[in-house]
Amino acid sequence: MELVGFEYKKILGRKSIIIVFVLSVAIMVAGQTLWMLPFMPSYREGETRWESFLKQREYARALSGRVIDAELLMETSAAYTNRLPYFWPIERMMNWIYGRPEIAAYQAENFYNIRRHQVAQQLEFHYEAGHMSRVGVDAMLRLDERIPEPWVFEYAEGYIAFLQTGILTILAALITAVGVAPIFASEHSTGVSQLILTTKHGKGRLVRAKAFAAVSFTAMATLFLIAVHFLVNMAIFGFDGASAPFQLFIPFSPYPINMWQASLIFTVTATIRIIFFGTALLLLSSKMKSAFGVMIFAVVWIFLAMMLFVPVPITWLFNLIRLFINILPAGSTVFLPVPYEIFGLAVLPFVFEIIVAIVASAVLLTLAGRGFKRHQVG
Amino acid sequence: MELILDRLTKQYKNKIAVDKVSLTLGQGVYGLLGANGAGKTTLMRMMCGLLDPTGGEVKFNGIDVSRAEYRDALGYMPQHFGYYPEFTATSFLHYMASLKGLTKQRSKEKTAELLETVSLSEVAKKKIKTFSGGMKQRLGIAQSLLNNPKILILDEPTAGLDPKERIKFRNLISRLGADRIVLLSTHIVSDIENIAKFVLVMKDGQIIQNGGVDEILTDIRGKVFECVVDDAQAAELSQKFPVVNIRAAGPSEEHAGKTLLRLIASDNNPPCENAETVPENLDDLYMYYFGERNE
Repeated sequence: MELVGFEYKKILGRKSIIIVFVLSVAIMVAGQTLWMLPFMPSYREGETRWESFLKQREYARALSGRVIDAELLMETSAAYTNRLPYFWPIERMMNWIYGRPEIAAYQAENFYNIRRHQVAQQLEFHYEAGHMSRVGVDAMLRLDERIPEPWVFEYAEGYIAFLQTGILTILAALITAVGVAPIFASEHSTGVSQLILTTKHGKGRLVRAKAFAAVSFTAMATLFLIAVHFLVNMAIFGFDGASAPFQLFIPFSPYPINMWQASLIFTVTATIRIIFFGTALLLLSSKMKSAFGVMIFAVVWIFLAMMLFVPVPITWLFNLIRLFINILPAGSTVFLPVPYEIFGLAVLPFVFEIIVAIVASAVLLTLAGRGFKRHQVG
Repeated sequence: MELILDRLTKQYKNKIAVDKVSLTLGQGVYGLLGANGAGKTTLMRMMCGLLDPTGGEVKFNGIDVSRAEYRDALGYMPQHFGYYPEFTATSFLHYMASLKGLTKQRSKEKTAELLETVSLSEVAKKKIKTFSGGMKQRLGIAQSLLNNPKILILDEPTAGLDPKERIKFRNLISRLGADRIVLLSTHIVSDIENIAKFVLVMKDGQIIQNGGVDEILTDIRGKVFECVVDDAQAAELSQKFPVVNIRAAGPSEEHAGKTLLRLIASDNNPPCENAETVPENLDDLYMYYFGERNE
């Protein structure tokens, strides 16, 4: 553990890591809070944005606990027609399902049937695009059947804002790159590797300490950013809605989970996939003579990962891209309704991605250690 | 205690840096002499396990260079000493001690003792980035001694030290050589002359001379001359023979206006009329093997 402590001293002793940490937190907090500043354009005359938000939150909270049925949907439709902002989270959901919040009574009566039909259509689209086979479509439809109906509305805007993030994992990946890239490479560029590779533990314990430091630093940095992002959103919107159905966020999602479970799955998936990213950088760090090359590689990878989906009509290629390139999940992409199919068995995407990331990380760590031990000075 | 190099070879694409070097080193200080590019650093790196040989092997008391037990017995100070600029001298030595397997208590004791030995106690809490070249060099020497190594390999350890520190360092190495193997490479021939029990002369990747100082000096016995000549003759002789020293005699000296040359002839024949043989030393030997004529 003493050697791990020294590795942390090296990582945290660099100004670059402090700068990237501070900037990341600042960007995240600003992204969630700038809208509430007084100079931002307001929704309604005579009200600041913050005042409008407080009113809307109060209205939405008052609806919590109501079953989403024809009555509530028709109330929402009427409120929309009369420009009353009482039902906006339900309006948003109706926009997804009906295309607009103004609906007829028969549409309200058939809310769940219409939704199921659209879920099936969405899965059909992925099937026709070559993203999955009938096995996958059937598995997702069976999963969708397990969603309890009718849904009960809860005000869950804190969780929705938390899961909507796109930048969180990009920032976590950047911090990881700055922290991990020099772990082995800077030993080579500074010439210290000449000393440490001649010591008793330089090719054994030290390598394990560096691997542990890389993985734990990545995990802690990611979890720290996630925690900041979560707490900022909860501070603004409130902690309500943990048990709300996930479908209040993505109505066509076939996953029978609530907001709290979705947040947990997102947190675990994001952390483990960024650890995979970190271990890949660690391998490069062990091979390269300078951290600069590793950083270039990391930035290119992050850029590619930001291009969320490449429309590839070949299942295996589509799966390879989302497994190894699109590694920076947003809340919505973790829950893509396209399973991985292994020997005729459909595996939930986040489950498979977590397993692959863990296995790949273990392999990459082994290779990184070997790369450093076999480094030739000269 | 025996360090054996058996047909140790390192070949790069078109160059053999170290060519089938076989040596058996026992207790004592060994001075490794050679011009730049002779293969000294490559040989030392292979002896430290930093570079895989193309052929041959290195073993200490039967333990292969690749084993942790070998590294446990090793202390190494490279030619270019790498460090962490943000670490203090103390934290750097603690880190190295931890890598060398010292307990925390032992690490503290040894760090304090070695900082004292290399005269860095007063700056122990200062960051290494604030150190001068000589201070860094002394810190490098200190880290190589942390584990009380049985094999001590020092690549140009006195570069950057002032004369006082160099003398102190030479005395330290002499003491250390009493119960361990010390291999020391340097361009400062007097360092080797003063402390090395054995001298290894390396040229083009091969050890061309290996023995005690007196023993290897026999090669040039009777070939080292001092001549008193005028400027024109000095220029002519410089083109023919490796010159160890050249000095204009001062106005108060016996040969005022003349030039005093110390040079090495290729045989025992005097290079000029008034040439006198003088006792040979390692500087002469170095020039004999590596000196160039001013052609």
